[in-house]
Amino acid sequence: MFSKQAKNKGLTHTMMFILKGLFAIAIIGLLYWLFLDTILQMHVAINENTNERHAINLANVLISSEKLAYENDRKMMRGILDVDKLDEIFVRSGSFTLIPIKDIGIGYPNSLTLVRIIDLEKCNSFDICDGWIGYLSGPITLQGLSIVNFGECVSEHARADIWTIFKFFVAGPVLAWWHPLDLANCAENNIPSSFKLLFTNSQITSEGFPIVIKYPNGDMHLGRIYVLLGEFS
Amino acid sequence: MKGQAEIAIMGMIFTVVAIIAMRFPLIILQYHLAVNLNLEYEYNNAQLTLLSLVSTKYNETYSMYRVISERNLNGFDESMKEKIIFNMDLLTHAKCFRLVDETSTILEKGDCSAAKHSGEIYLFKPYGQELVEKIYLVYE
Repeated sequence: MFSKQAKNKGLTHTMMFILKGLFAIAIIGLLYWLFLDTILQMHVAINENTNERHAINLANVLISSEKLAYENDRKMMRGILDVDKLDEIFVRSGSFTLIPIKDIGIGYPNSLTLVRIIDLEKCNSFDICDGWIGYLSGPITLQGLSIVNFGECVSEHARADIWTIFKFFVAGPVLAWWHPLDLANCAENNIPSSFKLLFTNSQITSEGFPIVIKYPNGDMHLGRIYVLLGEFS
Repeated sequence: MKGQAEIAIMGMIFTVVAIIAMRFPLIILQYHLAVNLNLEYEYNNAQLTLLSLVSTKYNETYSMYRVISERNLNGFDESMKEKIIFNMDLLTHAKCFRLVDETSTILEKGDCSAAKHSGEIYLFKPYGQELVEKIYLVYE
């Protein structure tokens, strides 16, 4: 009788010991996971912050650059963009042309920038405004990576036929123009596996900076410039 | 039993403190980064808003720059104010804003009192007592 009780007591103690041990291991595991997660999130927060600062800087450079800014008596007018220069680099939004990727010598290394410029005084009743859109690429320093080649490959494989309009409304713009297999091949052939792209949704991306757009007839319209910067490493 | 309950409570306190201690620096860092980035964006936005405002035309003859800088000489009527307010509305997307100089308010819009996001610009005043005037934009 006493022997059975002692045996049960021993079993209970052993079970309690095992449970306590498992609990302690779970707590240590949780804290370790939290520690790693915190470090990872700190890295992401710092990288995102750097990316957003770069986007702000890039927008400031673009609106002051001779490539886009209006020149009056050899004076660069910061914040006033020349329509003729915009037409050379970007495509008008709303036109059914593929958006080219251009290197105008402005951009961070290993980056791809989506620039959108809208004319706030040329908006329709649905608040959709006329403007320009384009991709700018920076110098590529990574071996084996060619985002420009990827862009060219994607442009080459775009297909337009009678079903394009139908597919546009049913499956969206990407699947209307490209076959998924072609996109996958372009990515596989031009983008290495170590490719990491960082696009962030910041204020400069969503709200933009105010600018003035100068038309050839002398009209000056208020507008905004939006910069979405993707940096990869 | 009492001893076990104490150990459990101590364990819980330890776990909660450890979690907070690990997450707290991250929250502080994220707050610090977000605040600084927001300040940088708003400063740039306000400066460019003022720059865009003075770069536009008031009509075929006058620029906004001349309307603002020569307001004491040529007058500053309601139609001029309305045109500036219209442009500022487009540029700032703000509920309310004020355009002020060193001593007084030039114009303001909205019922609320704007107090944040300030940008400034220097205007050359060819006909004033002082050659340069500093204009501030305050909006939110």
